[in-house]
Parts: sequence; structure tokens; C-alpha cells
Amino acid sequence: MTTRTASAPRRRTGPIEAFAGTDHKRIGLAAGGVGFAFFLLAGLLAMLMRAELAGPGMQVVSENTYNQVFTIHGSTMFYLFATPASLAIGIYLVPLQIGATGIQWPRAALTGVWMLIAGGLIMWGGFLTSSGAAAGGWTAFDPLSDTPSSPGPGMDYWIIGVVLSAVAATVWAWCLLATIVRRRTPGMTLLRMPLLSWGVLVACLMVVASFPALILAMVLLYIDRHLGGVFNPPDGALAYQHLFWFYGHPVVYVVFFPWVGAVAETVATFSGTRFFGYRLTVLSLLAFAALSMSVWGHHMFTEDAVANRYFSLTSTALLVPAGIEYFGLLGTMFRGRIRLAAPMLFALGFVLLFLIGGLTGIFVGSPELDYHVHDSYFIVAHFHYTLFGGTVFGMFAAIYLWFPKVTGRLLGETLARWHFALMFVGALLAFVPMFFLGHEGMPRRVANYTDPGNWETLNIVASIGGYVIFVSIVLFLVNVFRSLRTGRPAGPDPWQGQTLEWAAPSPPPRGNFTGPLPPVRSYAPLLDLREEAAAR
Amino acid sequence: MIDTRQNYDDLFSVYWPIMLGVLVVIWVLTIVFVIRYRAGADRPLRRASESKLEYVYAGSLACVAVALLVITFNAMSDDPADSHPATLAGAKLPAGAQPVQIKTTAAKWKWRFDYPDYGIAQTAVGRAPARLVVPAGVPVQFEQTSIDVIHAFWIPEMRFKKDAFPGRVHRFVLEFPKPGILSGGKCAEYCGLDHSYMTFTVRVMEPGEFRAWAEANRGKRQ
Amino acid sequence: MSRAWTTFALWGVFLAVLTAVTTPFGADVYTWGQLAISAAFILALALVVFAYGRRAERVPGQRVRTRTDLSYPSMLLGVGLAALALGAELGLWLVLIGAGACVLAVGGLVREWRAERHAAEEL
Repeated sequence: MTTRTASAPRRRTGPIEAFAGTDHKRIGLAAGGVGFAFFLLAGLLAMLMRAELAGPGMQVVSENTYNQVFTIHGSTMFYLFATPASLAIGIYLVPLQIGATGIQWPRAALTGVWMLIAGGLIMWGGFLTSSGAAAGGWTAFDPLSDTPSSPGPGMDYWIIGVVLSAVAATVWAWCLLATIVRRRTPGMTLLRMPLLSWGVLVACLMVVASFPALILAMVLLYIDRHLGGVFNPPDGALAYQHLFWFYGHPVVYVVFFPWVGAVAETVATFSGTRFFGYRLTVLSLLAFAALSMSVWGHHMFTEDAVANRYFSLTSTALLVPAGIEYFGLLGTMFRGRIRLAAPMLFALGFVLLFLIGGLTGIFVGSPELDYHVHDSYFIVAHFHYTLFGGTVFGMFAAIYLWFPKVTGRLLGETLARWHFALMFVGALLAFVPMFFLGHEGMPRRVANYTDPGNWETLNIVASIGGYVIFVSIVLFLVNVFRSLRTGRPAGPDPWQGQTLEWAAPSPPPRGNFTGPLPPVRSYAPLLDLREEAAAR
Repeated sequence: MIDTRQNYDDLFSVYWPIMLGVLVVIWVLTIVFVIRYRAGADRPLRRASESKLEYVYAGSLACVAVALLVITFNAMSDDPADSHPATLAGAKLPAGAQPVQIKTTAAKWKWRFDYPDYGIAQTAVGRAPARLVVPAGVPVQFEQTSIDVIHAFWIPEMRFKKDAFPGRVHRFVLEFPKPGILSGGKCAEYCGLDHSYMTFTVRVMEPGEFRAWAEANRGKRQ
Repeated sequence: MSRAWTTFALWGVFLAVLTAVTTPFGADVYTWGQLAISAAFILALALVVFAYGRRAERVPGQRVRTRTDLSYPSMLLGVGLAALALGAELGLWLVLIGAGACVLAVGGLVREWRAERHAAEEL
């Protein structure tokens, strides 16, 4: 079915129009931009945390403030940054990659953007109350999050913020699923869809299957706080955790899969070949996502409450699809023609750093090992490698890759290299010491530590790493501001891309494509065209 | 009897080399590929898929997963501290054993250790660590609960942790191999304001010394 | 589109298998229950996509899609829903404001849909 799109001529875009457009690109940029702003805010909170933890004793903030800071840091990262950004990249790119003119139900997606903005403001609004923001951790376990232990409106604002952002994410996921089902251009079978779009597809499957559990948990928690009677002993706290973690584990894959797809495309593009083992990778993405829905009990190993062996089985099984993805990435580079432009640097950073998170994830999938390191800084290090090494490095690879498409200009290479080098070194300095701290007995979510020994040194190194990361991101922001005004103009395809979005103008107009689409006969249609032309 | 630390170290000694080995292999391969396969060289393109190789590789990954699961499940099966809802720790003790009984109560933000056989109750004063006294080399049976929010009992030197839930009793048995002081006891489940200060130390005594201590402190509650 | 349902169905089958595997491990009701619900949900979704695909194939042809460029009612709906939610905390007055905003927003959306259909018919 072909579609023609007609619309009124586009007016100049002011700040309000930027957040009221129905063009999927504007919605994607709005959602992604809001998400990125929250990333920066949460990063500032991290700097505060690292300043406090650099030495024993309370030097910078009180214990109460610290507890709010780490709660809002983690909450902002998950609910307000990583989830929205991981879906926003789909909202922007999936239609371009599948040859569509827009997403399905754009107005619903736009409503979601405003729910995210409102939810984020409400959550952070807790800081303005006399009793402060929520301080229950990003997980808000019952009974800690119940009224006796968390009196005051901060926790209520937090709950409302979480619900609004989760509903927004769910709406976006449905829009994206419908888009992928209905709006692919003829010839674009699912097995010819680019890997970013596949990453978004499986992320959306997990969102629709697991986010309702979070929304239910939050609503029930709110009722429990105000009317009581929901999460009662002996099993109430467990019920909460089952609901929460049923969402809480898939979400870390929701914020991972789109970026592994972006990294896969980056590696293929900058290796000058098509991605190796595409079909097995697609199958393993689906298996990976399904498995990730079945491992949540590994957060509960120490609770005498779940079938530890089942969750150990499913958690350890994750190494199979993860290993397959790495095989595809390395196999793509093998005998390729590698160019080390900025997107590829960050893609390589992803490959090397996420690996640390993945391997330590298998480690803690063994209950007897987890009994020691659970809820310690070892876990903090583990998930920062999957989230920072995975989501954040993947996001920057994607930004450097698609910035020319979105803006029509290239980001500066020199600043990009400094950004990469500093962020990579910072990621090692910041989080490797935490493995040792946790193994030696430092719990997580502690405002203070008073143990003797090398904990202060390790924490100082970690804090230095955090500040190095901070500097690297400042360089990135400088690069963006400069490049938006005076960056080198990019044509439609500055990288010799392989997928359909590189056939659209940079930036793409309303309706995305200004001519007939290239024929789609594989998952790398533009590469096919180039190879055919070279053969002639 | 399980030595939890030894159990952990045995598992660790298998997991750690595998993790390190995989890390090194992938880092080296990545760096070597980037250096060797730079653009500019005239090189035939490789195929986009090698099905047999891929499936053999996937199969080997599955074998690794199975091997890790076998040693993990083995490490769990004899451990009385590793409970499944269907098994109580006490059932794993050798016949005729008379473990020392300790009731652990977690509250915001102190630990309390009760010795029902001796009428002793010990808790912390201010932010000082609470003191847990145990005999070496014999089973010690714990019954653990919380009176408010979720806490977690963690002795890093023993590589052991168990949550304390309100309204539930967790039973586990530990054996402390050698006399000495274990100073790292912590609460490992965030429980609010003074979570950082909810600590305890473990004094491990020879069984004879422990009995003497228990008798000397009979009925003392602090 | 005609084959998209197979992806959903395959994923649903994966989830169903993972549900079944809980059985020998004596998992509690929260474990197999949540897995079972998610498996059933995804399989139902696959069915819906399948049925939709069959229906759409019977209606071929060109389709003109018209879109308003800006949609302030969508913005208002998002803010109105947020006000409704926040009103649970701040009081009935905010709930009512939020509800009012939502009603206005839905009215605006209906107008937009009508305008788009009108424009499509004219093309």
C-alpha cells in the first residue's frame, strides 16, 4: 500500500513548536532531547555522590541528602533518561530505516513526550519539599517506601513521576510496534530490517510485556501509602519485589538493545562490509529478550523466597545470545576495511566496556557468588559497565553516526576523539575500583564508610574517574554547539551507509524521502547498490 | 559442614579465569582486528555468514553455560545456608548435632543478637557496631527477622549474606572455621537514613571459651 | 506486514517455554504467573497482528495520509493527564483542572481528526 503525505507548509520552529510537532523526527528529537537533559542532571548528581564518597566521613552533604541524591540519580537515569532515549532513537530512525513517512499514532507519541516532561519535573519537585525528594532508591522497596519509613510527599511525587514516564514509554512502544508492523516499504521484510530497528522492536516487545508490572506496582504502592492494606507482611514485601523486578530486569535490556543495534550498524558501516551473521543475530536478539523476561529472581537470591536454581539457569543462559552478538560484531570487523571515525570509536568502546558488565553478570548469576557481592559495590560496578559501557557508549556511537543525518552537519573529529579517550579512561577509573570495594565488603547505597584499609584510595580513584567522564561530556557539548553552527556540511550519506535512512536528505524533510526508494533486497540495500555499481 | 568462604573461593577459582580469559581474548581480537584490517588495503571481502561456524560457536557457548550451571548447582546442593523454600536449613545438619542457636533481629538501624539458650541479648550502642559472639568449628543456627524494613546480614569475610524480612523468619546455619575477629559485618540492604552505620563485628571463640563467655554473661541484656 | 505476526508468535513461544521450565524447579506463583501472563499476552498480540494482516490484505490500494503539522491538543492531553495524576497528591482541585484539560484536549483531537479526513477527501 503506498502512501502520500500532504501537510501544510512548515512554519519556522520556535521552542514550543519543537515540542508540539507531529512529525516523528521532531517527536524523536523532543523525547531524546528531554532524556539527554535528564542524563546531564543525573550526571551532576553523580558528581555530588563521588565528591562525598571520595573520603570517609560526611564532608559534602548529610546522610539524608545523600540518600535522596542517589535515589534521584538512579531514578532519573532509568526512568527519565535511558528508557526515553532508547525509544526516542526508534521514533526518529525506524521510519527512515524501513522506508516509511512517519510513525503510527504520532499524536499519542507526542502526548507521551509531555507526560515525560511533567513526570520528570514532578519527581525532581520532591527536592523542593521540606522533607526532600524520595530517598528509597530507584527501586523503592516496600516497606521502606511505605509511609512510616518514607513519610512526606517526596516519595509520592516520585511515584507519580515514575508512572507518567512509564506510561509514556509504553505508549511509544506501542506506536513503534505498530509502525514496524504496518509501515514497512514493499520489499522490506522483517528479515531485511536493519539491526537498529530490530533492537528497537525487541525493546518494545519487552516494554509492552513488562512495564505494566511497574505501573501496577507503583499504583499499588501509592494506594498502600495512603489507604494501607496492599503490601502486608508476611509476603507483601516479596509481592512488591516480584512485580518490580519483573519490570526491573527487562528494563535494563530495553535500554540496551536499541544501542547494540546501533553499534552493529556502526561496526558494519565502518568495516565497509555487511554485518556478519545477521540471521543468527536476529534470532539471538529475540532469544535474549525472552530470556531477559525470565531472570528477574536473580535480584532476590538472598531472600529465601524464589527458586534460585531456575533463575540461575536462565541468567547463566544469557551468555549464549550475548556471545552470539559479540561473534557477529567481531566477525563483521574480521577482514573488513576499518575506518576509525568517531562513531566507530564509541562502538569499539561499547564492545570492550559492555563486555565487563556482561561477564560480571554471568558471575553474579551464580547464587553462591551472589551471596557475597549482592548489594555491594561489586554490583554497582557490574551495572555501570552494562549501562554506561553499553547504553551510554552505544548512545554516543549513535549520536556521532546519525548527527549528520539529523542536522546536516558533521561533528568535529578532534573534539570527538578527546571525548572518546577521556570517557573511556574515565569509565575504567571510575568503575574498576568498585569491583574491589564491593568484594572487600563495601555495601552499596551508603552515604559513609568508616572502614580502615584501602577504601579511601579506591574511592578517590573512582571519583577521579567520574570527574574525567564529566570533562569528556563537557567536550561533547562544546562539539555539539560548535558543529550546529559551523560544522562541515554533510550530504545525505557521509559515511557510506548501508541502510535506507542514508538515502534521505540531511536533514530529512517531512515525509522523509524526496524520491523513489532504492530497491530493498537485503538488510543493506545501499551497500547492495554500491556493490552492483562497482561490479558493472 | 559447609565453609561458606571455601565454597565461594572454589566457585570463584573457576569463574574468574574464564571471565578474565574471555575478556582478554575479546580485547586482544578487537585491537588486533582494528590494527590489521584498516581501510585502504586491497582485500577480498569475506562472506556475510558462515552458518556452520555460527552454529558450532553457539553450541559451544551453550556447553559453557551448562558447565557453569553444573558447578553452580553443585555448590548450592550441600550448603545449608542456601535455602529453597522447600528445605529448611536444619534438615541438612548431621544427626545428633546441637547447634548454637542465635536469633538475629534487624531494625532501623541496629542489629540485635539473642542467645535463647543463655538468655543473652546483645545490641549496638549508638553507631558502634553490634557484637556477635560465636564458637569456631561448630554449626551455629541463625533465625533471622526484621521488625521494620528489609535489611541484610552480611559477613564479607564469610562470603555470606542473607536478607532479613519483616514478618518472615529466615533460618540458616553457618560454621566459622577459625577463632578471631571478623570486623566487616554490615547491613547490605538499604534501609534508610543510617544504613551506613548498621554494622556488626563477629568474635569467633574456641568452643570452650565460648561456653565460658556464655555462662559468664547468662541473662545479660544490653 | 503479512509475516510480522510470526515474530510475535515466536517470542510468545519462547516465553511459554520459559514458563514451562519453571515447573521442575518448584517456582512460586509470582514467578510462573507473571511469565505465563506475559506469554499469553504476547501470543494474543500475535493473533491480533495476524488477524489485522489478513484483513488489510483484502483492502489494497492507495491511501492518502494527511497530518496536521502541530498538535497542541496532544500536548494538552499529556499535561492534563499529568495534572490528574499529581492531583491525587495535591488535591481535588488539580484533578478537576486535569480532567478539564483532558476533555478540552480530546475535543481538540477530534477536531484535528475531522480536519485531516476532510483534507484527505479533497485530495
